[in-house]
Amino acid sequence: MANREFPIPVRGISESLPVDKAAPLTSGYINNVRPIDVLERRIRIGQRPGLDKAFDQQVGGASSPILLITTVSIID
Amino acid sequence: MALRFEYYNTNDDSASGFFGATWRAQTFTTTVGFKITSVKLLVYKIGSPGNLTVSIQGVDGSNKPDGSDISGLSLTVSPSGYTTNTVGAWIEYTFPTTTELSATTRYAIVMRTASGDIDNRVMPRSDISSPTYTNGESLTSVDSGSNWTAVPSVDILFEVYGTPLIPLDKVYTKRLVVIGNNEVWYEATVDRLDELLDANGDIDVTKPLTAAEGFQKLFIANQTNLKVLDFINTKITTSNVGANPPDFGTVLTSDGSGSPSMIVDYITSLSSSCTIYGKRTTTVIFGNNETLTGTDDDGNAISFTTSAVEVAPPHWYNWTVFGSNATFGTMPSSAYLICRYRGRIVLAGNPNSPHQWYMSKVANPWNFVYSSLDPLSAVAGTNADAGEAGDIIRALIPFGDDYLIFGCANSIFLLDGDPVSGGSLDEIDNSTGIYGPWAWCKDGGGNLYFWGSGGLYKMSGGRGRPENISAGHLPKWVTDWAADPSTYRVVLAYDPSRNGITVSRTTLSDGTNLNYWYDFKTQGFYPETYPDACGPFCAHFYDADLAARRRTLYGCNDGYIRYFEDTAKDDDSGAGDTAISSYVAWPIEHLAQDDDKNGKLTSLTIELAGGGTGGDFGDTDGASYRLYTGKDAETVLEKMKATTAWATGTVYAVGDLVIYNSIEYICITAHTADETGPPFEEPDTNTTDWFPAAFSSATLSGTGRKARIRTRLRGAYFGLKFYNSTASETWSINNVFGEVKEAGKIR
Repeated sequence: MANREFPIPVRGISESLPVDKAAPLTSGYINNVRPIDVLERRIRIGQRPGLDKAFDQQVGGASSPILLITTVSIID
Repeated sequence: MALRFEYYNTNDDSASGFFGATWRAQTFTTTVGFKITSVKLLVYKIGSPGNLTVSIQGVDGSNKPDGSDISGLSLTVSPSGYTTNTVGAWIEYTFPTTTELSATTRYAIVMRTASGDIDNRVMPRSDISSPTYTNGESLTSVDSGSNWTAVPSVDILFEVYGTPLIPLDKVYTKRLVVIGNNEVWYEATVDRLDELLDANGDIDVTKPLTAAEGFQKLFIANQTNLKVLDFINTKITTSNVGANPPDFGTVLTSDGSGSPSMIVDYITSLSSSCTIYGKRTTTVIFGNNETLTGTDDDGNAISFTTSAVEVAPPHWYNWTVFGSNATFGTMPSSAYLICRYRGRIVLAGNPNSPHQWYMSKVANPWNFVYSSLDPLSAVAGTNADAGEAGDIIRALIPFGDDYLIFGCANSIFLLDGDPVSGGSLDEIDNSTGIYGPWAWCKDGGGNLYFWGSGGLYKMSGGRGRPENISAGHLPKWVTDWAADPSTYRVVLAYDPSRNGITVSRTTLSDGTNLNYWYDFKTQGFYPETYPDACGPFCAHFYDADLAARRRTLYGCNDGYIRYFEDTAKDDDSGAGDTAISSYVAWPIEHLAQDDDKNGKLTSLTIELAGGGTGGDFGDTDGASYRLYTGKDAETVLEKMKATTAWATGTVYAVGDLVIYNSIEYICITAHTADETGPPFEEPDTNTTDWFPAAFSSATLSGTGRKARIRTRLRGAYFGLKFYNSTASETWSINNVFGEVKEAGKIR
């Protein structure tokens, strides 16, 4: 009979307390996961969403960082 | 209020020129009925083609143009001003009248020039590599439209605009503007960025820059490059503006056909030849050699003649005071911080006056005459009771029209109200500053977050005392990051759809990055890493017109804009996709209730997300797990975190941890790794010297509750790690539980 639940560390990383006394629901070793999963947007931990391109165009053509993005609203 | 109804505007990789008897056409099919107003084509020219005619025709039984321009839907223009750059530019052809097009009906955009040849022709950009537009096709005629031949392998890029058959409430459009590589790009059409060619080379990305929206323009502060991107004004030119130039707000009326009229916004000079930018208030446009008249603020008559046909926006020009004349004040010689506050454009970041701030006149970004007498006048720190900030300004953060925060190097100042009308500038914290102009963001509740000297801070309501919210979770964060503005950019971004913020440190030279997701619901921190190409250099929440496109955007190291997408299981890193390496360790627990005793984990049950495969709940892909044990918790964590790669020739001691082929190993016999192989006595085969650090491991596939795992894991402390680094996979877990028994004293 199962007698121990191992709670999912949905509260992220904690490095401020002893490893065996970490804050409840925290982890000492974690990367690229988020508490709200991408399948159902429920709090139960899962891999983070991936990064997708928003536009096909590469600003500047050559590989060069984008330094500013903003929006301007214009009356039609 | 024209809307885009039909379009194919992507994947252009060639051009389909036309001249003389060779005509081109692109058919399209309407989804709903609407009143067509214009079409747009992405075009450039070769040589000097003759006048261009764009028209709309119906189609015959073979879906080819029927040869008859629909009444009112034909426009002839001169292509003399077209770009010769083969990238092309979007040109809008606005028809003389609006005509209703029927729903679910095919029409043809027909293009031809009166004259020309192979060296003098108009070139509309096309997609010739398996185009995907399925509601029409491109066609060619070599006999001036009498007969047409379909070209299914080609689609000409186009957009069709019109007004709906019922009135709209929406009266504005939002455009994204992007800067990188000394270039300015903007969202000329939905889902597509085009370069503003006039701005090419005018921005210097080696100097810091920020920008602020105001009055349907974008004001850019790039140190000595103060620029305007104007989306609203019409541009007219004159070789002599006369003795009485127009003022800001002057109404000018032309004697041309239809009496076009405009409200003057900005003028480049108050005498001789100049350029005038103003909001045209008529649909009739300004032509060449028309006389404009009006009355200036002093009652003097204005009269001058245009020297060219008007030019439609967008425009790119230097930001100066009105008429570039000192009568209207003096702008700072250099600034890289900018925002809009209480109707004024605010500048700071002048390296010669790092504590100084400057504000334009209310609703007039061309007036910097500092005065304390007029409540609307321009104002600066040196002539206001509020005074200068007492520290080097690094960020300007407006909170509506209520207050403006100056994030400084070592302190935070708050300007309350209008500095000309009793506003005060107070230091609200001197224990931390703000790292830089991108190192802050606001959430949907008006709270401010920023990266400061102690980590991540929160200012409730934007004016409470800064609270360090990261120190309790990550006491070494600041030390580990060692963020230095000369080497790293720190970017904060609020994601309203996921209710949290990202905090990124990106290396300026190569895009390598370290990041955290801070979740508002759990108030937890989650480390993340992205491919170098995706290293964030800026971020912006794009509140797009279309709900499906509202998202937080990240300007990345490789010149692409990205966003987090739930359905993306990998990162799009440019040329291809990069698998996401994800892992999480469960809290390390003492197995037995008695701290002096070992425990035995006899079984483990795991429930993966998804219920039954293919059911209503989203299905997880597989995930792998590893079990660890040790006498103390830190030893267990060390086994999980082993990252030192095994290497030949290395001297290893008992207890050393290495990783080899993504598996952790612990040294059980002191030795020196062989250098004389192959084989090199690698850990996976050298069972004399190495032992897997994990007690056991396996990969789970499918969804829902998995078969019970029988295990004989015995030890004081137990560790569990889940991970997945497989391409095109994502995962989530519902439950983990097991059976534990006590098992003798710890020895």
